[in-house]
Amino acid sequence: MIKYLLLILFCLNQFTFGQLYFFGRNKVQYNKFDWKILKTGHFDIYYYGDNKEITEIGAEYAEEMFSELKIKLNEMVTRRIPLIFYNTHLQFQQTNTIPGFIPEGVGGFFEFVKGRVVIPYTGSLEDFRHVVRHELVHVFMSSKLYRELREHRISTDRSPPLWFTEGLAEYLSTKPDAQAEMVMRDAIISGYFYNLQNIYQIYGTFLMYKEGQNFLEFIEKKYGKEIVPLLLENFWMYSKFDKVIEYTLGKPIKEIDDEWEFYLKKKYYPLMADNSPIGNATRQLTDFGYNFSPVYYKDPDGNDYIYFVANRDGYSSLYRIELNKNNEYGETETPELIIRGEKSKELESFHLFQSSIDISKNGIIAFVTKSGANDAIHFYSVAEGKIVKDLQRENLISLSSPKFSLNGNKIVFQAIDTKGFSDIYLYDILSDSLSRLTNDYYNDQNPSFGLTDSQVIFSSDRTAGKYQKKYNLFSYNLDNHKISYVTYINANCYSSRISPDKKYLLFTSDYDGVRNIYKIEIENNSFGNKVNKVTRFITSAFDPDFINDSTIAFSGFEKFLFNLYSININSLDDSLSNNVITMNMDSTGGAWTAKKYMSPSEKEKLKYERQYTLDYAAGQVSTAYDPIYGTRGGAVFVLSDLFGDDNYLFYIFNTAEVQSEILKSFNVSIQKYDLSKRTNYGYGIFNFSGRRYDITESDEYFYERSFGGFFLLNFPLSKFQRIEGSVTVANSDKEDLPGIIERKALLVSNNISYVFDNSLWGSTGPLDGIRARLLLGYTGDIKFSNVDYYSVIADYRQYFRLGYTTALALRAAVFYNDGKEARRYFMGGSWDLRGWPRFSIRGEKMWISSLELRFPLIDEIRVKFPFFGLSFFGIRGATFFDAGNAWDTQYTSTLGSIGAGLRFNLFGVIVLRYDIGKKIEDNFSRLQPRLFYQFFFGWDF
Amino acid sequence: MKYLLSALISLSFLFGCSPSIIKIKPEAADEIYSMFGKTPERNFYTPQSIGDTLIKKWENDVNGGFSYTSVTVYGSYVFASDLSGRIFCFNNNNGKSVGKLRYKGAVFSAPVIEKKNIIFAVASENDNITNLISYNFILGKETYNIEIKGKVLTEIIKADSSIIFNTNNGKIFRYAFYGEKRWEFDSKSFVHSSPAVDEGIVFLGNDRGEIIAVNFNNGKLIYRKKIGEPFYAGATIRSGIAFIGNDNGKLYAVNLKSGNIKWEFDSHARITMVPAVKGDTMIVGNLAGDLYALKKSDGTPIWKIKTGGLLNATPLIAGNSIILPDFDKKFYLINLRTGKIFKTYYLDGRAKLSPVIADSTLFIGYENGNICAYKF
Repeated sequence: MIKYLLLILFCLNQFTFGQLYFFGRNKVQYNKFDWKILKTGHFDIYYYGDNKEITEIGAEYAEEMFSELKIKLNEMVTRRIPLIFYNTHLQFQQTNTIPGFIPEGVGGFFEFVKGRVVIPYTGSLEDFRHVVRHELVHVFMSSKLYRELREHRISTDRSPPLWFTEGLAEYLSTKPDAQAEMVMRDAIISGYFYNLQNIYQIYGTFLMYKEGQNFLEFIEKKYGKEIVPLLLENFWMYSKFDKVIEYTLGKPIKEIDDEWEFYLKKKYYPLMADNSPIGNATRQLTDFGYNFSPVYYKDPDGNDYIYFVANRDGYSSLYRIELNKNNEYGETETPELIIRGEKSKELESFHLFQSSIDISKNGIIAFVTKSGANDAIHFYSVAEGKIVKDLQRENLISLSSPKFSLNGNKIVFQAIDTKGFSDIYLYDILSDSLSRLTNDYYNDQNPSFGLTDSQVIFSSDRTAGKYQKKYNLFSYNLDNHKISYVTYINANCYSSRISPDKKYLLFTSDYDGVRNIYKIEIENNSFGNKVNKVTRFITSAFDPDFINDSTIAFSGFEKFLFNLYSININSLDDSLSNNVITMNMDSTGGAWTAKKYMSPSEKEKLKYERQYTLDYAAGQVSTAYDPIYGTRGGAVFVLSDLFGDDNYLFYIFNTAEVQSEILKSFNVSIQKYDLSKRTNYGYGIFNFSGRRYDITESDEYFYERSFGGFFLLNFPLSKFQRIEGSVTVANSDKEDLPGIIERKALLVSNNISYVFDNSLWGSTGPLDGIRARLLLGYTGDIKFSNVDYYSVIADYRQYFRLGYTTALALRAAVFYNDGKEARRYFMGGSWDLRGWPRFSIRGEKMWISSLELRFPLIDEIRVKFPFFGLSFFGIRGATFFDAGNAWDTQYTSTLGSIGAGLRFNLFGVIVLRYDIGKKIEDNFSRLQPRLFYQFFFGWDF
Repeated sequence: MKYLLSALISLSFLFGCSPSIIKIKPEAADEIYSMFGKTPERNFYTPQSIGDTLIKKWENDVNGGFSYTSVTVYGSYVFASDLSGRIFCFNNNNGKSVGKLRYKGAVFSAPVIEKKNIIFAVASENDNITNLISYNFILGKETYNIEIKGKVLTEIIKADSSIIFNTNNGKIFRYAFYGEKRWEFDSKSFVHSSPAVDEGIVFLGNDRGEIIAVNFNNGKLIYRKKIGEPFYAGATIRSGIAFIGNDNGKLYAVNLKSGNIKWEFDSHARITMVPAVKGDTMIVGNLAGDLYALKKSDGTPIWKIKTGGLLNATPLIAGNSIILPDFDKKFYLINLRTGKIFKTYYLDGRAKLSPVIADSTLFIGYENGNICAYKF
């Protein structure tokens, strides 16, 4: 039982202090947040800093959605709902409310243990409203289903599939937008649509969210809006959700699938009459990965290049391709990597989906990455091949889409400040001076210089009048600071670019449901009032840039990839000239204002005081043993505050083997971990007693009682590097043979480590990057001098990517303890020296080296019998060569093994490993005569 | 220690497996509240006044939770159904459980009391069937148990030596008390609305937004009209007019015989409760938490209050007061004439049951199957 308890404790410890793995990246708490509370009718809203105005708007959204969901779902959440608002996504990524890392694509989450809703503000009030509403659907749905199951006395661990929960959250929180339309059109036209019977194959993907939303919209259209809440009302009736759907709609699931697919085909197939897939109408420049923001550059030698950002191998990076001028800028070579991102703290993330790049005529590329706490704009010189300048400001958290002036001396860009306002800024590169052009809660984005360097064109949701809140294009006059409309249409317009000959303004717009490219003619240095459609793609185009007056490059979405394309816009279909939107600027009206939740009094705005609630509690009493051994038991409690910053861990268990030992066999530990600041620390006290397995000599046990305290410190230098330190003081009384051989010690143990990890993981282990740890330690008995040894651990692992999922992994490690009663290390088995019995090789000194080729073997196996369509994904293969040994004082011989194996990730939780090979024996002189077979679990090294 | 553990396990086993039986002594029941709404036309009115002070008499609980139904009362015995397939019987004098019946599934309807029997429907989990059961609580045994296709998720009406009920898949049944089927009508549409019966007509709404009238005697369709959005609320009938609210928040007054709409009133949010009527005043609430008093004759609003809660369960009009359960863990006492809330009682859970006054006691039911009995 104790081993299970220890396993639980181990897991909990990892949960509460996630940074303290042997390797692993760091969630760095760059900011200290001064949390305040705004109390509304149903919510406790936590915010910090200057975010009061956005918080009051968010509070209004939350209350509005509460009233809406109460009626739609016939449910009332009667507890107060904690809503935690972060000013930006970058600061949201620092949250400790959940232990893991938060990817850039996560817009917010509802956490079930404490019922917390955690949401970042990303500069757009409409997006903020969407996420608040989305997460509250989760709150209401979980409340309703939990109550329903409990009322029916059915186990509450039953929940609907993820496609439904996320689809419902999308369906009830927003209307289908251009993104959803783009994905669904592509899924149907490109033939990768997954119906309900197969939707598990896209579990957790963006496509799954959008298909889930689409299915519920289809249900509403065909069966009525009241059917969707009925799916929740009927949830208790069947243990399988497919049965709930069948019961509610009165049809078998296959028939429903057929209806849904027919509905989508009927909707999207006619698009092919007047529109075309992007690939059919353009020249494709890339054919793999997620490629964004192409910008054209002609170098001094006359070579034509497209620079762009992309994720083509798991890392977001800067690339370039050379254009083939003779082939009208099509059919290019494989892109060349210019700057590798996500491997160093300066270039932590390129924000592929949010930020575009630009290049000046003199070959300076401006691009944004996360760099420490905030974003930075980097200036990369093509000629020098290095970053020559950075722009980073403490008060500007998120930066996006820098664009050069015509002379290349200035840039305009979008930034989100500490209030959460997304505005336009102007930066003079030569004088290093920064000016703010807009300052309000409207989401101003995608700026670029206009007809002259004193005009900035940008996209903003400040649109007033009948197209209120749509993203139209505006111009900002740098001389008189006046903002005026460039477009005024019932659609969202982004990414404007002036043609080199200054004859028209190009931009993207979702006027026809997805983002296509449009233009406005420029006459007499002013923009016309007619918008012409330039492209008729079935899916969307992004970030167009001119190669010359008639050819553009852009990023396009098709076949669930973002590739780069080029197109001659002068050679397009004449019928497009009929697609003209005439703008009426007279109906623009006054500016819109966001409704705010007004607190009845200042008392409703409080400073946050830490309150602790239980995260986890488990207890077990075992009477399974013979009555002679009495009863064994233990319990674990984990408490933390609302933000997960301050964690307390208590555990108590008893290891008595006979009743008379109960009192002296209590094992107790109290630990505290503080994760609120950049320097994480933990301390605690403990008392452990009982029989211990002696790794010095095989299969023997000794009795030990130790009590003392410890202190841990963890300072992340960046996401990839950290320094760890620990001090433990423990009084240790050890009995090898009770009453005969005893050892007393007052042990003081100090360790300091440097840890590096920028590895990229596949389904069974790392595929790229480096992992390393260097540890120096000393353990001594300061009272009796019975123990006195020092420790060195140097463990280095590097992964060389040979293909998308193929890698060569190298490991070299030395473990060295030397001195009196030095602790022994051990190895052998599937995790290190394969083929040798598990943990059979032991010594105070140890080395190991491994070389392993990891490669994909089988992508999917479907077992039809006796199960129905059970699929196993991602079976991977490996060939390996290991060498190493362990010794105490005299090095004996070198051991090794060679072989091949299979790895299989089971449900994303555990990797099963099966190896076959031969040991290398007799001081590395011969292979064992037979094969060894080894089955175990665990991630690749 | 091991003896203590053994004793605890034995006790829990003993209590966990208490017998499925209700057996009570016959008594001359002066008062019987025998079905949801008391009468076939649904009568959520009692002339008894309750004043403004309620004193808790007892509190007990059933196994699962409640649907939006009510208890039924036989003399000093209170019957309650729950969503875990149980029927409980409590002694109103002391609140103690007298017995319980256990079935697999869920009971949505209030147990109908007919002489010495309770009649109820157990909707199955994982199968689309319902067991219609009659149980003699004097003898302590079932008198019949009939399997019916479909799930009964609405209320059972007792009328003229028979019961009327419907399944969710749109079938309406009339069974004699002793278990013989008199007729069956298939409306061929999903139905989540509880029927009401008056003047020989069974009246209800369906998920298509149709009102349906069926002849009580022979089960023939009288009329079927689409008048709006789906109906999830039950109907109440007064003086030849049926009142029913729909999913769009509209309350309709329909001529029972012709099906013609007499008037309609828009409350702007889903209505799931059955309207309560006293004299010319009609009370109806919606899921936005708004409660309306309307003139029964023409639908003119008399007053409106915004509770901010969620009004699912049908209120009870007691004398000149309204007893209104709110899903937001409370119930109100409201002046019928002015609409003023003069007392709010807070509960430990969401109010679920429609209040019942019987045996000089007010019965309130809330989340997790709790029943509170109040003296007044």
